Amino acid sequence: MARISADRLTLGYQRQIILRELSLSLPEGKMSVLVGSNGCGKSTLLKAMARLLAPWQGRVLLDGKDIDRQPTRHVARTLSLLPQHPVAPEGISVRGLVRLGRHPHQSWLSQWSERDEAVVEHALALTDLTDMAERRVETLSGGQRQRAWIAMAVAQDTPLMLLDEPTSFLDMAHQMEVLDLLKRLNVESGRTIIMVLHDLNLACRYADHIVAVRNGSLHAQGTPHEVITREQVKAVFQLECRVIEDPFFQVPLCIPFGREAPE
Amino acid sequence: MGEWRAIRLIGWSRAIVWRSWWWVILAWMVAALVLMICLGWGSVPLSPGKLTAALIAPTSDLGLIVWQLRLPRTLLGALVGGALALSGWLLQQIMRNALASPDTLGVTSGASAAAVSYFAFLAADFGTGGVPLAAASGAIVAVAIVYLMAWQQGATPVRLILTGIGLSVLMAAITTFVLASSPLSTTLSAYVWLTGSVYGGNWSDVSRMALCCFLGGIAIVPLLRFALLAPLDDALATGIGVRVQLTRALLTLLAAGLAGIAVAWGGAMAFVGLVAPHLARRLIRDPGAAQPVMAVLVGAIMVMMADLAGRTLFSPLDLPAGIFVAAVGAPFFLTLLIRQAS
Repeated sequence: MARISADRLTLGYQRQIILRELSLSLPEGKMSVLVGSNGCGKSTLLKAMARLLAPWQGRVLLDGKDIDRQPTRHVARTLSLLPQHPVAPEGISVRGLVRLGRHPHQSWLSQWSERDEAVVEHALALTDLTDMAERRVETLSGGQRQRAWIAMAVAQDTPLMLLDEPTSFLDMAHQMEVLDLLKRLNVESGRTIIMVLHDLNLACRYADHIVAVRNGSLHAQGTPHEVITREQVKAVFQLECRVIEDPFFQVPLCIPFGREAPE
Repeated sequence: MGEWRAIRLIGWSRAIVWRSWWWVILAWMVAALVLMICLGWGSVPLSPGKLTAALIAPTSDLGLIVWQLRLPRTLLGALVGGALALSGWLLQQIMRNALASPDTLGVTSGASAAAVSYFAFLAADFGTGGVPLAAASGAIVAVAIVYLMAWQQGATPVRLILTGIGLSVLMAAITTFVLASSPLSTTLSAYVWLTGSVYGGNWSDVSRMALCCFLGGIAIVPLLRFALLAPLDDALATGIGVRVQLTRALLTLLAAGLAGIAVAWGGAMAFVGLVAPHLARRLIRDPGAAQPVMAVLVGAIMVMMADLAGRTLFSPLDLPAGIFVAAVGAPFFLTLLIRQAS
């Protein structure tokens, strides 16, 4: 049973149409990855699923109800979101940032309950930031900062997490670290994770479900084996490649050719 | 548990950074000290002993000077400074811009244009008592215009700032036009008002201003946690369940109201609204509730000291406090910026 789904969704900015009549439902308790070339509309789709963008037509359903008609605080207890370029308040400490994730669970009276504190400390420990909790966010390295943002989303304690390119600007080791962390959240606490990724091979490695978006419509979806094939990669990315079986992880491994294919 | 202390009482709970609040307590003491100096110093200087005697006996000669002249004027200055500082702090949070101040949104220029027009066209018939009302309405109308013009399926900070600057220029033109085309006497009194002065502040001014500040203070209580969240970008804020446009509009309205009442009684010394929050951020880095409180205290101290300088340094001339706010505040501000850059 899917908790979040798109129902004939048409989206756009100003006058430009980005997505056309797209319907999609994402499996609960799994890691889903949206892939597609730049500008295909995958980030727009993620934004709409996080109620950041009102659809022109159609709707996003969260637990069977229109997401735009539910109180935003209520939605924030079910679904957390990490945008692509998040901006932190100046001078905030790591713990302060992570604490912001507790906002939907707080009220004017209760702004730092025992539960808030326990969840924040747990999120810090999970992201390996406990020792850095007093440091200011702007003094962190890129990888640490990304972990802090993920910790904030973790502290929000939602069954669904949406992330827009959580690995961009990170080196390979830190990319793996972030994805390992998300996988742990998925496996250990059964959270549904939906994210946009650019690296097809990382997508194959970590995703249970891949959604390929092409030109504002759904091109294919399914397991990595079903979606990442030579023909589909060519159709979605206009890229020649070969897909072989990853000898270590038994997932598809895409070897891109670019303009000149080897003999 | 690091810097934070949890304070919990039944359902009520807060995370407190003690270090920040120590600074606030220190600032309270400085403010009290400055208040005492302002009461004691002037064309009739009072020693601490005489000041105490004067405070105890409000009907004596010295008591009259302290209770009827110096105290209301100083308190009015403190309220004006505090309100401007809080308004500036709010706007810097909402606009996510360190340069935002009551000037940026056209608040002060709107108030100035309205007040100067009042001086020129209505003061002869109705007296100058209506100036605060005119200034406050000018401020609110200006912000309303800025907000409406910046609105495009929501108002973004950048559009608000740009629209505000545009409107400010227009308002400044109106102010200059009215000043230039009025008789000299009108221009003079309008000019003193424009520089910013708490000259002649009396208890009726103080009580009315205090009532307005009290209402503003009540309004900020439920809004404060949203003001602290305002620097987050819209996507993140929505993500954690904040109704971004609603809280932004309410906070802007509150900031405009505070600046409006401050300008109404203190004239256009809005520089306080830029510098005081900056200083508060310097003293208290942790972005928590202590910061706005600190900003209020810094603003109050600044205007009290500026007014003291205005009435004592060039005695018997009584110069508008706004001059000294700018004369001391601007170099101080520049020094801070230079030191920050290096």
